[in-house]
Amino acid sequence: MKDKDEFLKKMENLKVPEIDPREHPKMVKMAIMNAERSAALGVWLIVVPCYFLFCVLMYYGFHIRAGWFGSMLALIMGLDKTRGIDFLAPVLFFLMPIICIIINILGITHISYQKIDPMRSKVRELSITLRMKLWNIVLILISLAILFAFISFVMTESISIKN
Amino acid sequence: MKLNWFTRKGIIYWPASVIGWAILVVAAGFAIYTFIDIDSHSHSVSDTLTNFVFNVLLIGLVYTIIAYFTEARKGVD
Repeated sequence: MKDKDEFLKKMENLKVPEIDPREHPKMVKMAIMNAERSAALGVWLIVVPCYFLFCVLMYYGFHIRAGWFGSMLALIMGLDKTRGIDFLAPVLFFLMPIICIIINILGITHISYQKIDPMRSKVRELSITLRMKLWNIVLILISLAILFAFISFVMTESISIKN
Repeated sequence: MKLNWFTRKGIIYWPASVIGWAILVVAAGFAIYTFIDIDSHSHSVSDTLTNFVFNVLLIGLVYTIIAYFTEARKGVD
């Protein structure tokens, strides 16, 4: 009986941590887009440039002069010269990787803009958080590599034409 | 407006309604037509396959973009 009373006393005297329930909604960080959906669409957006760059690497990098790789190069070069579909190459190699980068960045970025001090209403805090989602980051890096390859190719070609 | 035409498993979108199946059948039919058309113009097997793979990837991209905007949403994670 005595033990029970002591236990009850102890329990009554326990210090409960103070939690302000109004603080909790501020801590919930929502991503702008769904990361998995962005990754799924991102794969399809860069699959054609990746396939083309793989063929270029095999043909010029490893000197594998297979008909498969050669005809793929001829196909992409032919897109520029064919009227009506000459817009396709810049869309595939420039626009699609940019869209892939944007949707994947939005998938892993959390932005919160909030008051940090209730006494000073003008003082606000902008916090940008990046979640380390492997597939989204890999897709962003591959897209950047495609963009870099495409821009270098266009610049080299324009310099060689001028000369 | 919520459209639940597709569901996503990994990177592949599967039809979840009659309209979804109709879009998949149209895409598959167009891919077969493309293959026949390319085969009638090309001079070698590798030429046919290269052009066909390129076209299939483009068809897959368009199908995925349609499915992306019409899939059943589960919310932001």
